[in-house]
Amino acid sequence: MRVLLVDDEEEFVVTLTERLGLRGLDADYATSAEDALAKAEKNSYDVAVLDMRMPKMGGLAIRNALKGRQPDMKFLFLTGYGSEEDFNLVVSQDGDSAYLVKPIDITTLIAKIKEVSDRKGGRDD
Amino acid sequence: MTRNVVESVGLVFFGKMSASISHELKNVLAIINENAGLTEDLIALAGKGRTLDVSRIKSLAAKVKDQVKRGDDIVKTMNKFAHSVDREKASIIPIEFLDLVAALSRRLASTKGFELDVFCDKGLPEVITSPFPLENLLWLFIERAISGAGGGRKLVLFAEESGGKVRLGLRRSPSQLGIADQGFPDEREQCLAEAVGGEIGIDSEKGEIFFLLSKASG
Repeated sequence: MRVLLVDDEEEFVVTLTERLGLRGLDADYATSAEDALAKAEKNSYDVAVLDMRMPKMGGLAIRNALKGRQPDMKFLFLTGYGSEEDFNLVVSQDGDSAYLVKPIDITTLIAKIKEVSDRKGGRDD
Repeated sequence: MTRNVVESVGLVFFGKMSASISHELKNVLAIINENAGLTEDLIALAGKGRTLDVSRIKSLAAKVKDQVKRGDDIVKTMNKFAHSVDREKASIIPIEFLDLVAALSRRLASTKGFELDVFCDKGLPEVITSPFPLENLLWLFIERAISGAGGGRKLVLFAEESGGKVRLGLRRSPSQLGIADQGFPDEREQCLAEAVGGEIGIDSEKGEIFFLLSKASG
């Protein structure tokens, strides 16, 4: 399974990518929307794990841009807030995605990645 | 009327800054969590026969310490901010005051794609003012600059001497990009300016919003 992690906190995303790699996932990372979209031009991913709040372009906007390039890609959102507002935003805009609050448990993250990856289709598929 | 507006606007401001601070702390904790997790992973692999790279473990420990320092700085900012409501009037040092406002606002400005810097004339005297409403007013200046922005991506909080007064404010860089002056000052800005006790102004062509404070009193 190919996973793209997108978060502007570079140390977080680099370390998490290595930890997923140690558990057998083919993980790649990006630290900005531009970086993520450039990687999605070159590579195919099954799941993207996106930070909700990032400079210039947040997770939901990146999700829309990635979906335009790779319609079968599934999404998982991360946030530091854990707010009802963020949860409602994800559910209202992408009912097939999942949502985790930082700091995250690696076992839970992998379970959620597999869960969204196994889902068929999506609202705008 | 003014007091009601100042209190309700102040509560919104306090909530917004608290949420932003909690988000920053969550990021710090998330990084510590991943560094600790990776350390555990490497030790577990060593238990299965893989060579343990001691320098890697040292590097991960150093990263944890760096994040603890970052978290401590965030908590210090939060503490200064929380205490800014302690007294209605207080003496402020302009550079320290602007550094605090910048530390509070930088992440929110960054999510809109803006850098936030501080510039302060050397040797500016302390000013007696109402710290919390002034912090709130400078944040509204930042919001105004961001909401009306075209291409400019840098904002500068400044403090300088001007005709025997201290001029505090915000300018866009490059300044010729201007600043949105529609409806300036709005009710919130006007009420906060009255609460702080000074003169509010805007120069949209120069890209500046400012506030004039007397040196001796606020």
